[in-house]
Amino acid sequence: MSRTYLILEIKRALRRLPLVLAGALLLFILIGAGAFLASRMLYGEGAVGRIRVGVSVPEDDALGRQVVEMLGSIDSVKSVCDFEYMDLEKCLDELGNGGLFAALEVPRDFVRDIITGKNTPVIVWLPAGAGLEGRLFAALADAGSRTLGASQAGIYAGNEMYAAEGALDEIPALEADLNRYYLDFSLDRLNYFRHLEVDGTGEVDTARFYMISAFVLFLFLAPVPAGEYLLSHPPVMKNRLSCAGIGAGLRVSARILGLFLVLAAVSVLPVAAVCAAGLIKASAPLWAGWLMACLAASALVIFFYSFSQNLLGGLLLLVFFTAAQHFLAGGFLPQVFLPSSVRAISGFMPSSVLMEIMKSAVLGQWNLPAAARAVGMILAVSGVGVLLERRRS
Amino acid sequence: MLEITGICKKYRDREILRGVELSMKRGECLGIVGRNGCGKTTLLSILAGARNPDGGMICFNGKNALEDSRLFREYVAYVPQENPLLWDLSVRDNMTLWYRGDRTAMKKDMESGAPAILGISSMPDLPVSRLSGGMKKRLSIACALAGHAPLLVMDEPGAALDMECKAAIREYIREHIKNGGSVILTSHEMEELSVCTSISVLRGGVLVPVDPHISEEELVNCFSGDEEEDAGQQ
Repeated sequence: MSRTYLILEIKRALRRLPLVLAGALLLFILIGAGAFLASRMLYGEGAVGRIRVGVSVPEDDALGRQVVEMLGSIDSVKSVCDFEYMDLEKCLDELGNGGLFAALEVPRDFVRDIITGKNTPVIVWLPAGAGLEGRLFAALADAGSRTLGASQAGIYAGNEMYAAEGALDEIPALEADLNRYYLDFSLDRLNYFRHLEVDGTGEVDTARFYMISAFVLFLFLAPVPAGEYLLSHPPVMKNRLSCAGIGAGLRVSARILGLFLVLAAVSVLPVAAVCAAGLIKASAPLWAGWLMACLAASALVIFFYSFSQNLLGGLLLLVFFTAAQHFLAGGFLPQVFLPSSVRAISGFMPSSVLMEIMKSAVLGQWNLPAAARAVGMILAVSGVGVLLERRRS
Repeated sequence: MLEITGICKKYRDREILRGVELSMKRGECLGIVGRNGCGKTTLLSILAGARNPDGGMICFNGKNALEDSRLFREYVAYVPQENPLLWDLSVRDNMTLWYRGDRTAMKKDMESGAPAILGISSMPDLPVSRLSGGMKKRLSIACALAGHAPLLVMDEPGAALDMECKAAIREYIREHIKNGGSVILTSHEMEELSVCTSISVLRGGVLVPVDPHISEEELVNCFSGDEEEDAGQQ
């Protein structure tokens, strides 16, 4: 009889497949769009937009303006920044009303002071509470000034050496060459904007990180259309099943198994599509991780519905808890952007456990500690689910 | 076939059953009547093994079922007030869940057994959610009987059903008794009690046998005094 019950529960679950598939399609579009936007907003050039920088150079300082123009024409700067020349007052006004992300105040005789070794600093103005663009520009300006400092040292060293050798006529050519070399090889924008290490992503890149995050979120939310199946049986049915020897353990396990099969059936297509597109490599760890993630998500979803005992309660609990814990796990914003107090609990969130599993799966690596955590989570939520089911029978 | 002695049940401080005694043979139908909340459903669920009594003994053919719960499954077909069905599955699926025997036997039963007599075998693929209340009750009875247990325990089988359906269920009960089965049912309707070979009133936590041909008025008189007793208990 237990076997028949298990088969019928699976049949009940699979009957919801078309409904879950339809919901999944909608969810994929929503989550996909969300993940894409989040990814672009944090890292993409388009979403971050061009960094509009106001530059204030004294009107009669042609040399200073020439140097700034040269800096602005460097590929790495040009690809992210737009330099606009204006007087300092306008620069500060625009900075105040959000029109500019930063302003550069180039002092009078800036170039002459470099030559004489006086080194009058360029002032970089940033708005209070600078956004991502402002902070990026600050990092860029900092890196630029360090590079300039290094290049300046190189140029002076060359001057000294040529002067000591008596080749004073060669100095202008040497300076020109050194300037070109330094500018050619410095300020590689990729170093500052692409290789941002993110705890949440670990070894995977941004695109894969958000792909994993969206997939985990999808696993939690895709069962929503199958709500009626996720609920426990009515008390009279539970009683009858108990009398027939089908206890709370088997009832909860059967529902988890049924939902697991539905989730696996719904999610196998996108996983296979991503593999076929060459975005990730199909491997044994990938398939094992995928199945483990489906099982863990099923156990958690069934627990929520068992706990709430009604459709609306289950739905609200699932959606709100999933959104909150996914945020805390660093699923929406990678953990580096979260406060340290939040980061301390991130690892305990179900999304974090599943993302860890999927991260290794995507990289084609076996991750036994993550698998052990997932198994622990499955056993814990199933165990509590069984206790609740037994108590309420 | 069935011997019940000293069955007691308490809910918190309220004593619902105070040593219920009952003896039944094959081919008998016992009707249990009593006021709402007197413990009829509790008694039936104890008989079906769905609840444990605080004390007493339930024996099927001399074997104590409280020591071996498998005996309940073997001897009792329980039809509670609400229908224990899987609403999103078909009539056949529900029968399959409870059926004890192979597929061939079930097919044969569907054609000429209890499901056929109850009129549900003509719609095996229909989802339960699309059945009428009466058909659900019939299916519920058929599912209970799918275990081939000789004792059919029914809790208000005709509640909220139309007259045609009640008649069909009464007809089936008669058939069941004729074939050597036994029935215990609770009811508030004299027509339903007309199939019973004996009637007992559950009063003050014990079963009090009354004449099976008792009139409705006399039966109502048997209940009087319960309210004072209940008030005294509370």
